[in-house]
Amino acid sequence: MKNLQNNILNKIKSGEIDMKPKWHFVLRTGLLFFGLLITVLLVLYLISFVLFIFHQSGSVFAFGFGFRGISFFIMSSPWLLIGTSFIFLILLYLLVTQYSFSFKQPLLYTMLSLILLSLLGSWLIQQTTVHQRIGHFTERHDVPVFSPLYRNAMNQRPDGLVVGQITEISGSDLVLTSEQGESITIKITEKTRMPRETPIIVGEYLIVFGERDESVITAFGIKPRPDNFMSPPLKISDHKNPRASSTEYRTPQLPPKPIPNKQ
Amino acid sequence: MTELSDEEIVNSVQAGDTEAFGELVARFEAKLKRYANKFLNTNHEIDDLVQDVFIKTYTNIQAFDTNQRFSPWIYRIAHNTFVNELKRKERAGFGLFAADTILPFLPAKETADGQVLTEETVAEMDKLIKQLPAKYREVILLHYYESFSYQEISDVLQIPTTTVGVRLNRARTNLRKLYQQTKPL
Repeated sequence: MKNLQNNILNKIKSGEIDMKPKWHFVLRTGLLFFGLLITVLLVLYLISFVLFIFHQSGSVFAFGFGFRGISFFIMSSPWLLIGTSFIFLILLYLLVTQYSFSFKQPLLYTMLSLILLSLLGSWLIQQTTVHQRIGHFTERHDVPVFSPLYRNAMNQRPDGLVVGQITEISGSDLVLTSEQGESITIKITEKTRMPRETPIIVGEYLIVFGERDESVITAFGIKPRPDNFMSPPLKISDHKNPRASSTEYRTPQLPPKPIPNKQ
Repeated sequence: MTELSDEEIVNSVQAGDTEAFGELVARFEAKLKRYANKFLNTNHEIDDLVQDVFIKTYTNIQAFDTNQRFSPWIYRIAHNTFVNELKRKERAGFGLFAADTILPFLPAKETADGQVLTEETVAEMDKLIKQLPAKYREVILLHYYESFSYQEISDVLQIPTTTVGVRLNRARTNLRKLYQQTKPL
């Protein structure tokens, strides 16, 4: 028995084995905490940005149009960002499991708690104007990576989604002026899901989902633009926009939404 | 003169009294060798492995919080060392995500099986325990041989206390089956 004791003490005295200093562990704990904090912020930022894109693009409204709508939503989702968020969520889980409180309950509860808290926190952030402000800031200061990211998120609709005002009703077709001032023909077919409450009238604002072929869109779903759904701000300096005159942002200069007459 | 607690000795070692570490070695050598012997099912290389545990303990001793109990902490180091040894030698099924740590399916409960274990001869039980899968063997060893509570086993193995209960239940059930096979009624 004494052999092992003497052997180890001899190794300690000869310097063969050495005690790691206290600061080593303090530093490690500090770095772990810092890493955890950064990862939490990144996860919240990424997921809230994904929610922001859903909200800005209007693709969430596609859910009202059955399987086609769900497919549209899935196809138009920012999968690269969602994947990146997922990777950081896994990293967050691995960092959390370094703390003893994480294994006091079943790991499934830890995982679910992290997912729910991340979604809740991100949803709360998305309810604020944080991303709009970041978007405006990055655009003004031309921040690499972030500027194009926010420009796309704030100014672009997914392909096949058009928001605009009805300017003409011609037989079964509608003519709509988009947010960019483009005239688009909306083809209505038997499969098009139309708003149930009131008939479409000229001057009304609509969100149209469908397959686009240049200036014609064959709609599978049409719904009135909700009052709380704002059109994305257009960059006035955009050369494609004839109204371009300054570098400021402003909402599209479209007439106010008319109150539809009940017939 | 009252004997110093493990934690008080660790405090001395942390303060620079390297000789005091010898006392810790003396206190835990036999226990760790017994744990290693029963957990790894071998006598081979046990001395080297236990020495490795003490070296790791000394190297990292400044990380130990003397407000906690020292025993689960050194057993945690021993557990990791022995599991690594098992992984090196065989595929022992110690994954990052053991199914019963993600969601334990059975409630943990004490049963009369505890009585059966204490009433059986130690030698006979040792043989049966060695036939158990490693994850069941370790909870039996820590609970019945080292007298660790569920909470302490949870700290050593870093698994939920409910999982400790589930594993103990299953280990006892397996032991009962093995016992009945050797001594059919």
